[in-house]
Amino acid sequence: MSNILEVQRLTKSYGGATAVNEVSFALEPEKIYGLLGRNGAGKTTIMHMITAQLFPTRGEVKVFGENPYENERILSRICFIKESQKYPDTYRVVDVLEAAAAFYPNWDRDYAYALLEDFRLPPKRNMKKLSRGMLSAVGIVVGLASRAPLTIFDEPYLGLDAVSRSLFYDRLIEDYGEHPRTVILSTHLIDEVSQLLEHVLVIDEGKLIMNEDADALRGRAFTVVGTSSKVDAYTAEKEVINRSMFGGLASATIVGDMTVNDKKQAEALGLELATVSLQQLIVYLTRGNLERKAVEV
Amino acid sequence: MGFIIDDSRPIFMQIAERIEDDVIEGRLLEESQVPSKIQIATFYQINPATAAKGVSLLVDQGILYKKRGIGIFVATGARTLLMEKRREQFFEQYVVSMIQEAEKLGITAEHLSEMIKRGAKRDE
Amino acid sequence: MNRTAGIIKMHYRDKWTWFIIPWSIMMFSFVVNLIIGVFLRGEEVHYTGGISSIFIYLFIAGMFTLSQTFPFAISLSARRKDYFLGTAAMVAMVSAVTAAALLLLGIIETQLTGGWGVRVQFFHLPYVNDGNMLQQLWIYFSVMLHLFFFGFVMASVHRRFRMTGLILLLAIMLVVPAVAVTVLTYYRWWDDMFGWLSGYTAFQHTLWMLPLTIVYALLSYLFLRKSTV
Repeated sequence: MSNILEVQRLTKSYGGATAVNEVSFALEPEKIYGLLGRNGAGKTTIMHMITAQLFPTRGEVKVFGENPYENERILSRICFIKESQKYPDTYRVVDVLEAAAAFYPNWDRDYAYALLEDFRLPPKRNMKKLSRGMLSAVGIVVGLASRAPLTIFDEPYLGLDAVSRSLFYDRLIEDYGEHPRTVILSTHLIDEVSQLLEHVLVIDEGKLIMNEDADALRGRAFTVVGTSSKVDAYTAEKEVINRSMFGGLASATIVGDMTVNDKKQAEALGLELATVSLQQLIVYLTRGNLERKAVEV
Repeated sequence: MGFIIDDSRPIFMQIAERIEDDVIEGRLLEESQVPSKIQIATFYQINPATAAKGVSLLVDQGILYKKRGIGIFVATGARTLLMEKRREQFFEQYVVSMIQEAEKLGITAEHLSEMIKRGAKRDE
Repeated sequence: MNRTAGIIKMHYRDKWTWFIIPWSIMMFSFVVNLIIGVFLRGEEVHYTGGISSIFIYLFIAGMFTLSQTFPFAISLSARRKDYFLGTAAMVAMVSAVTAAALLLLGIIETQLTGGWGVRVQFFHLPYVNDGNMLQQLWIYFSVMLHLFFFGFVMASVHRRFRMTGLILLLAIMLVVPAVAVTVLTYYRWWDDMFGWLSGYTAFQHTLWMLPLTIVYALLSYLFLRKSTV
């Protein structure tokens, strides 16, 4: 099947500042994607452009093969749940669900109300009187019950407690299993969702710095620990993404699949080897930028 | 959740290992049905496609097999096959590294086998 | 479901904005005027301007409904076109229903109760309620629609061009009348103008308001087409 979303050299500038810089990627149908990156990296701006809520300065967006702008056929297949969603002042939880029902062709009303109970949301409560966590839960209910072929969650679990987060993952997996669709989970809290993701896109300072299969990234990097001279010798020809010192010891994180040779060489030098989690890898990759900037300042 | 997934190794491999463990330890009998990808995914809170990838890895190895329209089952002889594979891994993972460490500490081969016998007794 | 109908449904669920608040304000004014009427013991006809509250309210609703519902509608994957058409349809329906209700209350007032028993003229006013029933309905309806879109086009300028655009618009709205007043005074045209205004009926005035309403509506649609959330 062809790509459901194609983004070509997407750019958004505000005056002199570039929020999104030449981002290109494509999404395949029926996968769960992670759009990861620090706060302010440009994730939300990208999602707004994908859904034609914001206009690109340059570049192209194709959803289901077409430009989504004012395109009813395409827009009706997209559900974008955003963290900062505004609701009409007088709206209650039930009003949000009933309004949403009018816009998503696959909307499942019974499922929506069942989810409302699962998340213990009071249907008659005014949206303005909901806590941060409850607001997030309303978004989750709409996103799941919409069953839109492209469902996008932007920071879906802000303020949610551990039980509700776990409930979200369970419901997402179950419903995705029964009604496969493309899901984008955008977040800066990577550890929480990382194991739900099939593929990750990492955005840093408006640029796409990683676009890979999640499982391929797990174990992609490794850390060596030992005396600093030995660590230096070992890492001489390698791509180091993080280095730290502790007394006479150094640790360095290296990108690349750990080969048998790597292992033997490290063992010969008396270095200890440790694997790096997906979350840790992304933190290292995106923190590098921050440190460089700090030096410039 | 009974098990925690390690985020630093490919999850589909971990899923395959968990199923192997279940077969070896008799929780999954030969010719019995393996949980569906959704059941596995919900249990571990992982992506269903990843769960499916773990299962198909074992299908490729002949440990599991597909019954069209019904599901995935444990093959006859799977347990023996896995035991052999695991014994090989055991040697690589534990015995070789144990001997390396023993050499570092100046423990002779004779002394080492003495220690193994002692350890086995304590377990009884 | 048709997405324009979805927008109507979205507005309709907001009963406070469209029904409860405007009618509460007007009925409060009505009750106050009735009490005044009781104190005046119906000695003379007591005219009030209380009915204007519902017209002013529509202007305010036009300004506020955009910021209240546009981001929500767009995030529900509605087209900007759907939003515009649905909102226009909603306002047309609300205006039609309100116009009919006002007319009905006016009939009750003048023909059935003699000013609610205390000679209060709240719903039926001279000049405005001249002309036949259809004309009266049209007057209410078109004035409400006009005021709504006047507020709505201002809000859409704000949505499209943000604060800069709105400030510019307000400046124009201050300068144009000032220039008009100066011109009228300089050429001593005031008498002519009043003569011209009073020479037409309320119904005739609403007819030249109509193209203006259409211009407001078209402009707001053009601005919304290019608006972001």
